[in-house]
Amino acid sequence: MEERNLTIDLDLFDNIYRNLSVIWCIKMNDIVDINGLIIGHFPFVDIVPYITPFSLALVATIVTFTVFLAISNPEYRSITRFKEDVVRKETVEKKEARFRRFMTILCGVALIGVVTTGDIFNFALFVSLTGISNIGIFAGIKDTHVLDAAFQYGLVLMICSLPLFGGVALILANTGTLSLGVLGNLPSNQIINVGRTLLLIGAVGEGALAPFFATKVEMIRAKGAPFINMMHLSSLMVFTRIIELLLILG
Amino acid sequence: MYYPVNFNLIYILLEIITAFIFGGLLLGLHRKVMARIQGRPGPPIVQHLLHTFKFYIKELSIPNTSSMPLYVAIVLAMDAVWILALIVGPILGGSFLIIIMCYAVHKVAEHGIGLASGSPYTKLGSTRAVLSATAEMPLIAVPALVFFKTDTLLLDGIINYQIVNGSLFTQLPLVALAMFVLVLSKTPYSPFGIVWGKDIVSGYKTEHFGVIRGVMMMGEILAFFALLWCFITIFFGGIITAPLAYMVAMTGITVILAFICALTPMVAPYHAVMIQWIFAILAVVNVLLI
Amino acid sequence: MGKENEIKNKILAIVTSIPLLLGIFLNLPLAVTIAILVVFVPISTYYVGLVLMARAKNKEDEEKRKKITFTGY
Repeated sequence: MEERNLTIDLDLFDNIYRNLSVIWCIKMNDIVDINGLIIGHFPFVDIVPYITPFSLALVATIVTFTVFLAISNPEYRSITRFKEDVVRKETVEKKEARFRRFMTILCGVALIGVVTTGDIFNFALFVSLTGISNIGIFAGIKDTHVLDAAFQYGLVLMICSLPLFGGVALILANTGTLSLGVLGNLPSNQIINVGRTLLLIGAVGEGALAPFFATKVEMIRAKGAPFINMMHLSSLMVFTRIIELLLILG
Repeated sequence: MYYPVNFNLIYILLEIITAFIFGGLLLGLHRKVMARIQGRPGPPIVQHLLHTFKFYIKELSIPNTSSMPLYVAIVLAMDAVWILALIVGPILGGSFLIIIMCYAVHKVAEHGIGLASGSPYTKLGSTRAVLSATAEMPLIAVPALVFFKTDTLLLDGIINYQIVNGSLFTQLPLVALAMFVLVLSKTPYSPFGIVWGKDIVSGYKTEHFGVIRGVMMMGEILAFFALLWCFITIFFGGIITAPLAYMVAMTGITVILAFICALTPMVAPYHAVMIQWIFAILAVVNVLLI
Repeated sequence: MGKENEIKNKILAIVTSIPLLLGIFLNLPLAVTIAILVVFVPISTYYVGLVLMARAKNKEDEEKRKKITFTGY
């Protein structure tokens, strides 16, 4: 058998790298039209995270919220019962609160990933991570209604990871790249449009947005204000980011 | 574009203060018009501003059950995002997506304000905030449909497009209607104001009074101003350019909003969501037809 | 609210409005200006409000308030 040449063609690699850099520096039309000036980018060959005023604003918001939600104490709930002459204050147990606080911080970190990444596969990964941490926020609650709703949300989450990653796979198969910077300059076609739709369905399901929100309203009946607020923040931030992403792909 | 390109702090601060005073007067006018329609004399136009200042020096008491420091921080966050929106919008003419983000954070803040106090009424208000977000977020995505028409989401770019091609209101009337519904849903006494409905005392605002209520009202005034500004800029950008024209247009829209608020009852939460979705779908149909 | 809290609020009101004053007198870059406005305007508004609130409560009011007795039930 013939021995295959496994050496990497460095010249070719360098060429691609340079071309990509040129593409990034000159033609980032779609991203610039949507987000404003690109302040900076990290050229990791194909996967290029970029910083725009939009992503800066999102990151600042998410960091501030995560910090404040992580240091806040859960609220008390006064409970009076019929035939009882006392007002009892209930709150989240310490052990439970610790786990849920960790999940809140994890969700914040995942959200930062969602809003800064310049690569749709990473976007899909981070979005599913926010979904998982959202489930984590509600997993420790000892309330059947909330747990039932969380279970249903979990089902939606698992089902929606298929279109989410499927959309990414379709776009990759069609264009050969995952980088938003390159995708922003490519003309759109039918397959990319199908991929975008799948991506939208996936992200909407993971973030418990519009048609899939039914369980979310039930879930937020739970105690623990700062942790629950994080879930709402995550779904709205995913929503804001997915608008940008879909417009760039188009 | 139409503002002097002078980005020092005093200038921006003055702009924010102007927005606050003018927005407060607009909300006062809103109440006045509503009262006249309903056959009452109504409060003077400065009443909303006076109300804000009155709350601002009233005693603050933080409930024992509240979740600190979220209880205070979330209200300040509401102010902060609208200050950001006012800088990005009128002064820098930046990306409209940032204002969408501000709106999203406003929804999160409503939810957080409701949750943080531990009162059942505010909790109900915050639950409704989540419910109404499911309708308002598609609506706020509707101006992204503007992107398909103008190929830009930068507010300056949208204004330029309209100067060349005529205002977007004539080209995308249903999208403009959807955005108008969004502004309507943030107006006090609006039919879609399920979040602060009087059937749940005051919704998410129930437990917030004193200084923190004053700060919250400032945020709401800024929000009203910013949303009106966005509506006018995105859909009438070709016609309305001078600051005075902006003021006249804002007053006109406020009067229309007041008519709608005075003549419609507050709808039930699910109906609110349904009606807003209808407007969102109409907007999409408008874009598809073109 | 106790005396200590009032003093603390006064200090915080001054501290949080220092960046705004700095921004007025120095010519800072745009990003810093935006950051100062977004962060410090709401916070200083809140603390200045607390200080004003403490001033608005005059002593007569305070005495009247102390006279109210709760009968309980």
